[in-house]
Amino acid sequence: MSIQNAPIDEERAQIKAQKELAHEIGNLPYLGEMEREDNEYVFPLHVRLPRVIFDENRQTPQDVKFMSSKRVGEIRVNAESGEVNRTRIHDIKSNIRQQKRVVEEAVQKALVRSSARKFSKLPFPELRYTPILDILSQLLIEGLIEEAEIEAMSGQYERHYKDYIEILEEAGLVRMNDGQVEADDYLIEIEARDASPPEKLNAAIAHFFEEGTNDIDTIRQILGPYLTIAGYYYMQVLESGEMPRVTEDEFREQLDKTYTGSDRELKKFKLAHYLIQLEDVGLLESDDEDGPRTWEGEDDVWNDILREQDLLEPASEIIA
Amino acid sequence: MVYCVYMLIEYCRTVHPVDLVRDTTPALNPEEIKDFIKVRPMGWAVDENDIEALSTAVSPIEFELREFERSPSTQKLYNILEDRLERELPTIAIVDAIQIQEQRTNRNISSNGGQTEHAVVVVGLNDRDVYLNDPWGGMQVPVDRDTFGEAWDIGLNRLITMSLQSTLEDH
Repeated sequence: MSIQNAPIDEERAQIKAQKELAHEIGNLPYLGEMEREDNEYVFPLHVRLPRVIFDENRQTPQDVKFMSSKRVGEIRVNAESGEVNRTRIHDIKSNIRQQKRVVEEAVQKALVRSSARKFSKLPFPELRYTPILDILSQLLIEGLIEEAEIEAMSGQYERHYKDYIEILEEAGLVRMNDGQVEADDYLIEIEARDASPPEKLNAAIAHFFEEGTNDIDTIRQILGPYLTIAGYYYMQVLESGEMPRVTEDEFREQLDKTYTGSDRELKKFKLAHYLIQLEDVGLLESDDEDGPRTWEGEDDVWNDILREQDLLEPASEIIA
Repeated sequence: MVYCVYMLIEYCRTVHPVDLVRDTTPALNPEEIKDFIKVRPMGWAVDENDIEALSTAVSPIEFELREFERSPSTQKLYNILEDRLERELPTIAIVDAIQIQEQRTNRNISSNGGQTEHAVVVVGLNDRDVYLNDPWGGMQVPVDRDTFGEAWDIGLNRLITMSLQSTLEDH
């Protein structure tokens, strides 16, 4: 029997899908345009996630903005039996979370690229960052690294340094030449500047951050809590359209969500230090004039982020 | 939805013109209302059973979930709203927040398609506008009747109406 002659017609199927959505799923998703597949009506589930913008004190809603529409699942209605099947709630939820992550990532990329110089001035004690500094310092001071020097290290370190050489190659800072690591075009240009070695190293790191936004996972590992904190703050600016005052508790909550295990406790303990360092390089600013201390962003940082229109495309709906 | 129900209960408890209604309506805070309205990871998912259980808890108020499977005329919608308002009873309407927000802010939001169901309380009505108490956007917000009618014409076309037990209706 063709679907046209089936006992459940299109309208009935639509009502069944609407009821499933309203009573079993929730009010946020909506039904997209129906598709037919064999003897089933397929209703895609889409969502345009609302983001309620609160006033400065986070008490009163001031505006609502909606993220771009995204398919997060489907409801299928059998044309013969009327049986309803759908994507599991857990999967719908994880698809929605993914949509939010795309926007957060867009803001982080724009922030890193537009404020690369500021990030490069942060003192990074994190282990993952050390090989990059080692490689760039070696090239700036010694001019060359013999591949054999790296191969002479223990397996774990050898792998570690070789991975970072590859990353730096992609950023146009180093190149491999006949068993040697040498400066590539950007690093040569930086070497030629009339600047001290630390200034040259900062410039190289800044370039690495600018170029590294395609590989935001690596950048996130390197910038770690600094990017979590600053990225969260400028995401709030994107959503509210103004510089909100954010408390340390709010940042602590973000670290809580981002890290796990003992790392989480360590990062939370170090929050005050991270904030001072972010203020020192001009990414955030503290204010304790009216009551408890809060943190605000910098206009120049935000204006620079907004210039990164290509990176901000996934967030364009919120900016509009 | 939870805050809309809260608004209705608080209205009956503190504002309704009949003393007996104010005196006999019990208080429920939003957390307590969540015991009756199902809130799932994808938002609230209210059904008739929820509303029936809620009505039992807030007697003398009686709530009714009204779903219209096929789009009724907007005149029918306005007849229901007017009837309730004449009895000094606001109504919860499930609307597309995108259309409401677009009119309120004069921003082009709907061109990218989609909809987001949202509960608002209808507190007034005239020839031109519907007045809403919107948990996302303030009190007595005017929205023109055409926009409101279209924003309501989504999904199951749902309303949650409120009535009072017959002994109180007579007052």
